[in-house]
Amino acid sequence: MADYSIHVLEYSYVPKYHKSGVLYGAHNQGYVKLPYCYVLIKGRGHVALVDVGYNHKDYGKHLADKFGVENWRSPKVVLAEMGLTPEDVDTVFISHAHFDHFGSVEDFPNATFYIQREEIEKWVWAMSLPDRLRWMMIAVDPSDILRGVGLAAEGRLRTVDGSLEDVLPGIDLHLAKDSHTFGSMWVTVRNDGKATSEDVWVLAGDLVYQFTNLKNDGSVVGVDTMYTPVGLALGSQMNLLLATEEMMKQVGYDDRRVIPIHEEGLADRFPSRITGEKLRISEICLADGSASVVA
Amino acid sequence: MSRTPFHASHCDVWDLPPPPEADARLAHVEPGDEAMQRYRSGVRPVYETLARVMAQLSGLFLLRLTGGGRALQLDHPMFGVACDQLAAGRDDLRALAVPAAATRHHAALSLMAGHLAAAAQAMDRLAASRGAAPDEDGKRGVLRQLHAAQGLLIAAAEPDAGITPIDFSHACCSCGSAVRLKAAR
Repeated sequence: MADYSIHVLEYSYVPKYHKSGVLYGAHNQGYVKLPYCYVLIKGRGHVALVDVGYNHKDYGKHLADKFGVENWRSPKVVLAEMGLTPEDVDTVFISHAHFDHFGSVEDFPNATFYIQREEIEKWVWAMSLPDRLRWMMIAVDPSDILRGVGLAAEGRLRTVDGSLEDVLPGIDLHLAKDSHTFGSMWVTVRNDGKATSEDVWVLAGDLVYQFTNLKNDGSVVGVDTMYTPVGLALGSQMNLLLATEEMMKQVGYDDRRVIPIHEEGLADRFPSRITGEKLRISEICLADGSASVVA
Repeated sequence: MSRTPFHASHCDVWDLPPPPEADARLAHVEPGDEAMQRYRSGVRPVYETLARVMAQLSGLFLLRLTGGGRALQLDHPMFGVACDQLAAGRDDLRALAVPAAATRHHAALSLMAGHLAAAAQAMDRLAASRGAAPDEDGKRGVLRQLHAAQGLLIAAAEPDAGITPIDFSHACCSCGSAVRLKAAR
């Protein structure tokens, strides 16, 4: 029995991204494609997303011209491939407050948003620090925080303290404190709805960028494979690894069930297709009775 | 007239001096225009301070709105810090020498600082970080001031001159610029 269908929906990409940004310590190893995606979870009467992409209205051209971000498509266009509209989305889990995850909140007028309280509190603190500590303020758009205020005023933003079980039936939220960001969050789907599930999927946000973060060559330390953190840790690499261990534990150490959204290789592991907009849809799993959208 | 992707700073919705006749984009200051060059280098840290104050006030208000009965962990000291930084930013803004071509830009930031001050005062009046849940009118008042500040923050952005509300330099997309620079050589 599977309650939810899960799809990773690409909405933009960077064709050439330093591999060292994806994998800690991978210096001078060239570039990889970095897809920008959000995750759609649909079932049990809910349409939920993990993250919403960046606010193209404000930054799209700048990102394209200066940073090589290509082929952005709106949530309306991306979701249309799934037979949905942004208005259909009732729940959004924000994995962290970086601009490319927390930007397009205005496109989802009927959604209730969830974000870790730790993420907001510490950003506020970081914003107060002197310029010599500016590195701690990277990639956060003050306007996104303000958009969050608008959501809160409408009663559509919930701040979460740590773990929260069954925020939707069978869907749990977990805090990875001081890791990729101050209060990064991952989403766990117990797809059989059981408390001790045998069908768990973890949607990792930016705690894991790609498969190599979960299974990297460990020969340098005399093991077959080892976890290796992503390149950007505002908190610590240690906390990233501990979060990785916790996520892997939840899926019974089946690394196929931890889903990294910046992974181009999802297409090799899961049924996928390229849309008419030249963006990828990867089908992680299907709810009972649901038809494939990639076949 | 700005051709940046962010905004239309010439838009009449802003209560600002009329745009100068000459193209006043800060990213394309003529080599001999030392007054504009000084203004550009001087205004950037002020812009960033105001952007950060906006984020702090917004974040504190968000936490207040979503906190239920729980007290903020970073409550009063952070509000005070934001107010102090705003005061310092306004002082720095006033101290800038403003060439004619930058009058509108400077006025936008002054106006923005005023909205932030008004937002902070409204939050204080509401005791937004001190106890009782803010009433609807009070919430709307703070939001109105913060949104006005946000509009001006975007209107005064000059991303090609490095004046942008977001530091993209270490963001997920940041290496694209290096790739492009390399390819252009």
